[in-house]
Amino acid sequence: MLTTALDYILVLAAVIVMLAGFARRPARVRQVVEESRRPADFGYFLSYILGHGRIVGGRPLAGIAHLAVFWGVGLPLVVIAFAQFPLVLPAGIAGLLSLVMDVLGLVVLAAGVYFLIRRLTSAPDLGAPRRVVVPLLLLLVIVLSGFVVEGARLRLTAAGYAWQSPVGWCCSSVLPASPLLMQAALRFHFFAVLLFVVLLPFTFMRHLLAASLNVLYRDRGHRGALTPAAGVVTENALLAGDRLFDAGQLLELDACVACGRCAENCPAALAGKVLNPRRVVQNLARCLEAAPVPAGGNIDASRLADAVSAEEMWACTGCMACVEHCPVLVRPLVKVIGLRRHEVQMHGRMPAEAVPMIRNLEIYGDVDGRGCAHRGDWAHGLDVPHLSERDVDAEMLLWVGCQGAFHPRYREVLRELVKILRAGGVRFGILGTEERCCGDAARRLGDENLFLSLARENMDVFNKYGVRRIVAVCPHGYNTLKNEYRELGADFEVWHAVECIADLIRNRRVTLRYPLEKSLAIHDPCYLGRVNGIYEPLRTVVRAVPGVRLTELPRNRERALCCGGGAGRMWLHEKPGQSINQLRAREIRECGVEAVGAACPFCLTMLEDGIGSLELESPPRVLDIVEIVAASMAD
Amino acid sequence: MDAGMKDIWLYVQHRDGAVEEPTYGLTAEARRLRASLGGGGLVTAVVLGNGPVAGLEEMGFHGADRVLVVDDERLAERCRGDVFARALAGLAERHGPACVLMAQTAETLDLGARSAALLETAFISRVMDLQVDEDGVLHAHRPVANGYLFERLRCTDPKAPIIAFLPAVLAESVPEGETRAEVLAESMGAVSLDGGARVLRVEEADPGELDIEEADIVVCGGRGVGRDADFDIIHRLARAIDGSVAGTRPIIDWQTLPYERQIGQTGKTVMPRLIVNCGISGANEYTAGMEKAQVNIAVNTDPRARIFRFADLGVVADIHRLLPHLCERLEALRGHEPPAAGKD
Repeated sequence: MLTTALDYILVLAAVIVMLAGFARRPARVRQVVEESRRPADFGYFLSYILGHGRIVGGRPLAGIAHLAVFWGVGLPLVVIAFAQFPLVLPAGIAGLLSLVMDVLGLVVLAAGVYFLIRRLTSAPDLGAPRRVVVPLLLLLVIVLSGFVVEGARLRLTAAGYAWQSPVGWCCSSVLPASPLLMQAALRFHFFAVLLFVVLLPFTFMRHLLAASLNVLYRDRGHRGALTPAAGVVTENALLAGDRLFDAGQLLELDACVACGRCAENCPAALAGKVLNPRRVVQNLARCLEAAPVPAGGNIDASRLADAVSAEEMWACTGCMACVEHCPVLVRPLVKVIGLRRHEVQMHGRMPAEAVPMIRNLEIYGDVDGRGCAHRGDWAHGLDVPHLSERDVDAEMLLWVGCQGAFHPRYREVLRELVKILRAGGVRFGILGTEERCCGDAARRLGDENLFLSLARENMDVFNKYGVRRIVAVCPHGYNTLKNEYRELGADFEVWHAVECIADLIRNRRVTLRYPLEKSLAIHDPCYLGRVNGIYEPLRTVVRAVPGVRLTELPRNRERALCCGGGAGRMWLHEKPGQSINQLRAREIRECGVEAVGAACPFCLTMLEDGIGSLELESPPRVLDIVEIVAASMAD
Repeated sequence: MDAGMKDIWLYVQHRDGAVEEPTYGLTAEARRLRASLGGGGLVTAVVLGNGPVAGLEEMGFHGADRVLVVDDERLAERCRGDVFARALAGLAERHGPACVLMAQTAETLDLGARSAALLETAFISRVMDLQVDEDGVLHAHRPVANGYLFERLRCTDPKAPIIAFLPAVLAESVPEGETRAEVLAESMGAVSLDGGARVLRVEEADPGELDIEEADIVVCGGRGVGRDADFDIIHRLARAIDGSVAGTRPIIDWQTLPYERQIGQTGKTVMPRLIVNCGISGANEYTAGMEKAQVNIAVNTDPRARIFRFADLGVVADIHRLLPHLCERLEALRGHEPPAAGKD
């Protein structure tokens, strides 16, 4: 118990220093609320912090150790705070509380030692933060000194065994009966706690506040929707200004604990590219720390942009693995896209090989530069109605996309899809020559203006025909239409073709008869899986095909490895490191399946190329789920 | 004068004493045009130069009725647009043809524009199609905006317009008739050589180093060829057939070739007269960049490779077994000494 007025002043001083330290941090909660329009989400926060699910998931050992430290420090802190008030608890409960605290102290000790060993033995090149060591040592000192205090107290007051504090009792047996020792240990314990509090904003432990705030004020938008660029969006152009990231994004930078789960799951980092999402976030955070943000909240964008090299930012495949696996809801992907935007919109710099594709989009509205006049050619002879036709009877718009319209392989997939939808009695139409690229690649390559102009063109057409439901076959188009057109006022339902097919099979509107006698693994496309949470429909559909022996790749669902074609990487060259598609192809080969099923035109092309490059005797076939279903369908 | 009685002229491009290929394609256009103008005039080939040109009479087999030859030492220097234009304009003034057709090259763009200025008439370049309407007025079609749009020009100029066709639209002409063309010598008239630009030297580009978009012959290697030293066989073949070397994306990713030598969606689009695809499977991302090539040869070990769908001649073989023999034969035919080792 605190004894003198000086102690209270010391506690107050420590808290003031801590708060002052936090006030100097770049992230400002008020701005997060006002500017980024992120209200506090207490419900989620409580379930997050009490359950620890996100922290434990994916890395159970470290997660449980974290859980132990959290409760082992949090609960005693609350108990000791209450102990300062003249509350009287029944002896039984007080004893039980003491026991719990004693055991928790032991647990914290174990977890702390585990963390310390983990930190000190981790490879320095991974960028693991060594600055955790000081607060960890301090924490251990606090726990140990606490036990000494307890032991000395027991030695002085009670003789013999005390079931309420087994650890303290053990200590008491080796300690001399000295009131001075107890007092000295108590002061030491107290000062160590004060030091810990003071150091909070200056060490790794600031994540206590920053990460908590980041969780509390999380971005509640859909993860598949990139936030519109910070800056002024006018009718025709985006004036990016010097705001690279908004306040919410800066809070994320502060919240990063550099655990490295993003890098562990990043396809670019796994393939030995320059990109490491942890390093990107940490470099940005360091950059932010180096020069405090002025009162107006404007950060010199070019300085931030310099913290990350062009090679790093262009290596990202947009697969969302870093976002999926971050325990404190940091989104490195969004930072990378923000940096690309800055590079493209402010400096006009983009990898040379992507420029022809962007020009094709600008002139022709598709990635291949074939021209919108040919956009309906794939459906030649199929008699698919266009929404522009009078008296068209369509409940749904079939969104074809550039790959469906022009890629020879994917055109076939589209034709198969038409067959399936027709068999299922779905009444659908297409836009034909009125469709444009959805803008996914342009947006993720940083060309926000081009995305906006394509999206507006499409929105005008949707509005013209009063489109209410869309089925898309490309996951990228699906995601963009479903989640990103919202900001432009879209209010239609969007389905992915596989969802649609799963529905038709469930309702027995499509019967699958012909067997596909193959062992088959599912490659989860990022923009269906991680981004939109569609994992099961792919498996449901494949299981409905007779004969298929479904197996899972070692990395599947949330942990599925990207094919390497997302975020415009389809049009970029692979420079250093391995090719990501070959990495995935090797995983598929090691799995020993005869075929792999995907549901994305980019995955199809990338995996085919990757598997082809392995030059196997009998390479696994790469099939689209639509093709698998069509081949099995009763005519 | 009645338009029906006017001659259709075509400008003969020749080099080292031989007529160059696009010229023959012009004869077909000229005959077609004469028919739509009423069939009265003569298809007349015009040759400007110094020294004999072989095969002029044989132009008759391709449909030329007569050949006007201006053989003058003032025309010894190739590419002197100012001198050639005055010779051509003088000739046209004297004969009054209905129009002058050319195959568009750097040379005729210069010559055509200059001649049109001297004759005070129209010069229409990049022509893909030329038609005559009922009133005998010429209509030319040509691409604009990167080939995405086409424009139709109506040529109301009473004087003989000069029309330059895109070489790509000129069909290859096969000799048909037995009639030799009448070759008539013409004089050049008073043309002074003073002033103007002079050609000092003509430098031939090394075909292997030529920009792949410009090259007539492209030899392209893919993943099946291999990297670094394995790729030398492609360079050797290219040297043997005066081709330009190109690669697919893996070759560029391996940095075996620089980026400007990549064909495909993320590289360049080529339209050579001949492309030899070695060890290329033929993914859409590649074929998007070469499907407009005129003659397509593919060599691949996999008979089911998609590239064979594009091939005029497909060879199922291992590059590293087939090409060394092929190169030896080609080099022997051309009397080449064996290539110096270690190019680049």
